[in-house]
Amino acid sequence: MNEPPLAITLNLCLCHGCGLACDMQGNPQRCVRCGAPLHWRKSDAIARSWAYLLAALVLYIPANVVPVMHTSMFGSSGGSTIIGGVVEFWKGGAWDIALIIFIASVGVPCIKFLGLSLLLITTQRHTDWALRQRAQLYRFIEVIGYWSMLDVLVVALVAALVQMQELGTIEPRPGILFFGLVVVFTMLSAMSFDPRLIWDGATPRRDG
Amino acid sequence: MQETPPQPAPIKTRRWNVSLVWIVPIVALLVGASLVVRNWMQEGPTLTITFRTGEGLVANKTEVRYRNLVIGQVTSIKLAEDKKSVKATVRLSKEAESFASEDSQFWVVRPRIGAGGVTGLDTLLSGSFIGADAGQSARRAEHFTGLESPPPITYGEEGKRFLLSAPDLGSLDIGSPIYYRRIPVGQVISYALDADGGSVTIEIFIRAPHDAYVTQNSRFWNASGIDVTLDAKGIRVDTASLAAMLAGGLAFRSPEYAADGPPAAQGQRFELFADEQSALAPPTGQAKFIRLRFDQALRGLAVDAPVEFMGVEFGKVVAVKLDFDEQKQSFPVMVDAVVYPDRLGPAHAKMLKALKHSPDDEMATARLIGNFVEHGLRAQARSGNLLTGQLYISLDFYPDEPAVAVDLSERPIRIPTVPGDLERVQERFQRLVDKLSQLPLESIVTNLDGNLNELRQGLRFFNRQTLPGLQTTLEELQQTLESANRTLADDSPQRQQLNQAITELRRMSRSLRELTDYLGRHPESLIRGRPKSSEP
Amino acid sequence: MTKTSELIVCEYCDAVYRKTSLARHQRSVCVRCGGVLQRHVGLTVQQRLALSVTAAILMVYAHFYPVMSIRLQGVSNSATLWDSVQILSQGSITFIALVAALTIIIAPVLQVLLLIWVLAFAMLRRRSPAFALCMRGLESLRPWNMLEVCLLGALVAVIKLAGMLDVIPGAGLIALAALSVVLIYIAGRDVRDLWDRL
Repeated sequence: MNEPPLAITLNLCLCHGCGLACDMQGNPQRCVRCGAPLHWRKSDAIARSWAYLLAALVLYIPANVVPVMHTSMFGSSGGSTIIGGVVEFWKGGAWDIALIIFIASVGVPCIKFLGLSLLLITTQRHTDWALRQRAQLYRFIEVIGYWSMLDVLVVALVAALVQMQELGTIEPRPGILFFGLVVVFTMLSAMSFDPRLIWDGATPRRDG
Repeated sequence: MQETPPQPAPIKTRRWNVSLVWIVPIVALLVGASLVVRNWMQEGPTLTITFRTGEGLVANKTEVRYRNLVIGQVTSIKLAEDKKSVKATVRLSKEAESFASEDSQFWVVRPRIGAGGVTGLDTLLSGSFIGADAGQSARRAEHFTGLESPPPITYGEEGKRFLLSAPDLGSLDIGSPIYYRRIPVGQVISYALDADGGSVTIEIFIRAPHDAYVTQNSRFWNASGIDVTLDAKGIRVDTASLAAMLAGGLAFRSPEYAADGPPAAQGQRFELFADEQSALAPPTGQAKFIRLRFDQALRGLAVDAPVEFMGVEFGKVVAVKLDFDEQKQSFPVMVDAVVYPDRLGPAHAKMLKALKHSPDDEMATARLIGNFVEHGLRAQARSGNLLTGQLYISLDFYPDEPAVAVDLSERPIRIPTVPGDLERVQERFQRLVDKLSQLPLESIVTNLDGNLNELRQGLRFFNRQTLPGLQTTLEELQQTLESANRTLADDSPQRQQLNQAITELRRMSRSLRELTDYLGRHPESLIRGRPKSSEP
Repeated sequence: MTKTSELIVCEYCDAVYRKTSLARHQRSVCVRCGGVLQRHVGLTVQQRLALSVTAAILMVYAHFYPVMSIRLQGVSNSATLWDSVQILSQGSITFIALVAALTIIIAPVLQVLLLIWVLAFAMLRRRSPAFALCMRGLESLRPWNMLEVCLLGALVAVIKLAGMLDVIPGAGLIALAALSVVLIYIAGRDVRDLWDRL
């Protein structure tokens, strides 16, 4: 099959609000169908994406160092970090749960950091290396984006449940705030990135 | 530049096209499934237990515990179809599968004041729980009937069961402790009325290793409560322990005279005695009845008062009756007593052997007693305790007592009596007083008066005449002694002369001895004279 | 030149294709980047509305019934989704409570409400008032709906606590499981075809 025509060559622009291919003759500012603002590419995609990514990266350090919750039960109390929780599950024999938590709170953020950095760097360098794979990588990152929220929600549920005054309480600790911010920032970073830029770098822009 | 018109995109057909968005729900499904599987793997058997009441049982809260370890939980409580009991459905944990064997026992643990103290106090805070005891049967069961009270022994506990026969249960209950030398070693585990309703059989359990102390000769007695005895020995208060006082208890021991014996077998039957004293009493042997007639009042002699022979207790009073003697027109007290000659121990045995006497021959026994009476055997009511005035009967030999004829055909055989100690003292005192009153006191006193006057006169004369003379004699004696003293003083000339004289005398005696010796050896010198060469 | 409404632009690489009609189990894929362009929508508007109403009912259960409860020595405690958001709002970490509220309460609730609103009018073959706003709202809320992660989180929490105390999954958890599946089914990108239909 032939190479399909590009929207930009047909003077078309995809509306992100409703998926309509808008005719850009007359430079409309908004989508005729849904009214969403139209732009060829997401504005400042790479810069914004970098900014969010770096913010997330910085926050990821306290998220792993600061305890995410504080358990005081049966007279003993102590904080636990995310990795500590994983190790605890692993030692307790629940390797499957340990694996899930590990993927959600360590694996996914790291894949996002590495993947987005890779995408951003390669896009900035306008390389035509592994275009298709990079596009798939972006879609993958987009889908797994919210998995990291798992830990935040586990801590929230556990803390809400174990509120039994003398017998025991579990309280959320600032670590979970950092972790939640990491999730939000990586999601924003992925959203800010425009996958079309991967292709733009490879195919010289043809101004129609 | 050639514009390619937009083409339709290629279509892919896949029956199962699972998008990435479904990964999370799928993982959740897997986790949920693993939870369910894990739960199912850990799930133990589900049992229904019938209890008389549902008191203290709460669905999904009440636990089933074994040795205070949670092994299950009550999942629901329902009224039985006949509305006479409640059915608790219990889910046991996986490890507790053995508790589903058909001889397992279940009971509700509540705070309970019972034999052996207060139990289950912790349930006041934690709520009741179901206690469980695993059976050993290989067969499984799903329906159980809960016990109303905890079984006193846990399954498979080492020890032995014994049976006790008692006239009544007393204050015993299931769980009442059993003491050996005041150490709790076992419990009452059940009791039942015998088929004829005449006695009670109590089943007890003695834990190992203490069960070895139960021998064929062991005696069990009731250690319940406070045993206050008021008898010839005074007041005695016996308590085993506070728990036993409140809840009753048993004690056992082998009597001293049969300390060793083969260990009792499982299920052996023992008699339960009322108290320690009767339990440890030597074997009673054959009972013999005797009758005693006392001519004086016997205040303080009660039924059960001991009968002693030469100070050894060997029987007891069974009846004290007042009689009327037509001949003497008096009211003698007739005392019936039972004696057990076997209790006299070796004395009795030796006597039987020496006299070739068979204890079964009544006539012979009567003759033997008649023989004893001839030798002065008498009964006496003695005061055992001056404070309380309790009396006991003592059989003893009084060889000086006048002989009394014994009617050998009378049954029970009558043993003559002598008055009691106090009575005898009274009697003697009376006799003394009588004799005193018979004395011619008037003339004695007149004579005595004259005598006294004479004595006074004599004394006066003595004072006046004899004493001054005595004074002079004494003075003279003193002078004589003084001169003697002087004479005997160390530096006196007489003493020195005496010393010299003595020395002379010693020398003289030595030469005399030498002479005799010489003469002994040379008698011829008497005739020939002394030879020149010889030395004296 | 074909009408723009009959064209479809790949959102990952800007390639332009013509729309095609798809049968069951079919989807059209961009030849350049492999991204999915179109998917067969097997559900009618009516079916989707029914599922949305179902989701709304499930949501009531998921939010008002405890997701799970625990018991320890006779003391029991249960937590709803709202409780877990509230517990995060205490102290210095209030911001995370907002994120949690957005992801497990606000986004799903709004999505369902908007879907019912839009679909109910679609049943009558007309666009609802503020149709464009609603559709754009649905579009932007989609990435923030994390109910399925919440479901997974609840299961993890069950296992995490099961070692220490008795955990009883509540009615909310089952409702949550059903709700997350239904939401994935109806609140995906397929809503966009409403633009073409109406």
